[in-house]
Amino acid sequence: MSELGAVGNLRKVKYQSVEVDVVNNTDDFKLSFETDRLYAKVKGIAIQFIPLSGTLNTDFLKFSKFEIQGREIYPNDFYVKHLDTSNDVPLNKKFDLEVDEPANSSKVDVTLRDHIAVQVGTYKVILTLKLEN
Amino acid sequence: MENLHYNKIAYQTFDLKLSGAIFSIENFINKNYNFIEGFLFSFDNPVSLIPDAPFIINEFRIDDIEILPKGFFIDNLMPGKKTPFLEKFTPINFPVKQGKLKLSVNQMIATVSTFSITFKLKKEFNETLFYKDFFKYDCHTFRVDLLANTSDDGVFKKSIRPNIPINTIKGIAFDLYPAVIKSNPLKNHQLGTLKMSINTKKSNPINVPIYNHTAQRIGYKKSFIELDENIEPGASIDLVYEKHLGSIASYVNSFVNTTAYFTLTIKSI
Repeated sequence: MSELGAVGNLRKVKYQSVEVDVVNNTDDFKLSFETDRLYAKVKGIAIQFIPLSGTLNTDFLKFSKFEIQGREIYPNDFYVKHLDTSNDVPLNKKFDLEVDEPANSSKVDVTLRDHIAVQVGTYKVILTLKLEN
Repeated sequence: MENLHYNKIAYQTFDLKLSGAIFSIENFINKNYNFIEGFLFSFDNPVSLIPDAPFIINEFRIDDIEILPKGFFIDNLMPGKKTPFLEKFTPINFPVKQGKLKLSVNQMIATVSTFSITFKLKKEFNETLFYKDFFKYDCHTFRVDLLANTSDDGVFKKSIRPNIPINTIKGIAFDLYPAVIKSNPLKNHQLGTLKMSINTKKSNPINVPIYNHTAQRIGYKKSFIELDENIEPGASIDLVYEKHLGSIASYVNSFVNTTAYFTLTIKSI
């Protein structure tokens, strides 16, 4: 019952973030998780890069896969940098807001690959979903 | 059933193949979608000393319809990181039939190893949206020796005629880029003013500020200075370029070679 009470007090919007460390070595880096079951819709997707070592170069990073509940959101070979923006962009505009997918424990499968590694470096990729009821 | 249910929006990326200084591709756009809302060019920039790698279009056609003309300077459509994702795409709202894509671009300074185009696709049956924001472009390039033009305060004059039928000029972009690699690129530096007279009207020329092309990439919406000028068939456009006082020193510092290309791109309906 206490959990049902919590549902009633849910915020309308929730941001769910997951992260993965990527190395420029052309390996696959996978993110696999479920969206918060208490939220009905995925309404936005944003990406952020954080340099860990070496020179940050995300020019060649691509999605090999980006699916929510089996539905393709970004295709194979989609450059992740398209979703990246600088700090001059207001937070709300950092999201791809044309996404409208079911949440409620939807399975999110993302595979990242840094194609053609020119510089050796490691960086963190933070993926944030905007969830709404 | 899964295959029958397509996404409202889909993206498709093509990596172009490099041969010499030319990136090119011939391929087909995803047949499950009938409408290209927009496209986005992208390339890597591995040589950090060279902030820009100018590209010009050799050919860009879909279903044999010209999307951008030969000579189009791609930087006019390149967004920077200040551009939100959804605004990075150049809108064309183009209805696709066979989806036959032909694209080739010429790299002016060979620094880049990958060049791609990403299309934003939809299923769209509202024909009133077709060709909305679909513009024609007309490109003119001049090669100028900047030092040779110092005796008259660095002014050059040109008179051009549009290569294609144009009724109304909706905007122009004017770019400067050096013939060889820059040694000390200046950023956000206004180099001069272009005075542009249409239909041989001597009064009220349009004054366009000219910046070094290394200025922050700002994308499709801001690259073209907005105009709404009618132009008579066969009319000429007179251009007078005036350098700012002292800017010749900036040129000398900026470029190993003082020969530069100036490209004027006219956006029209």
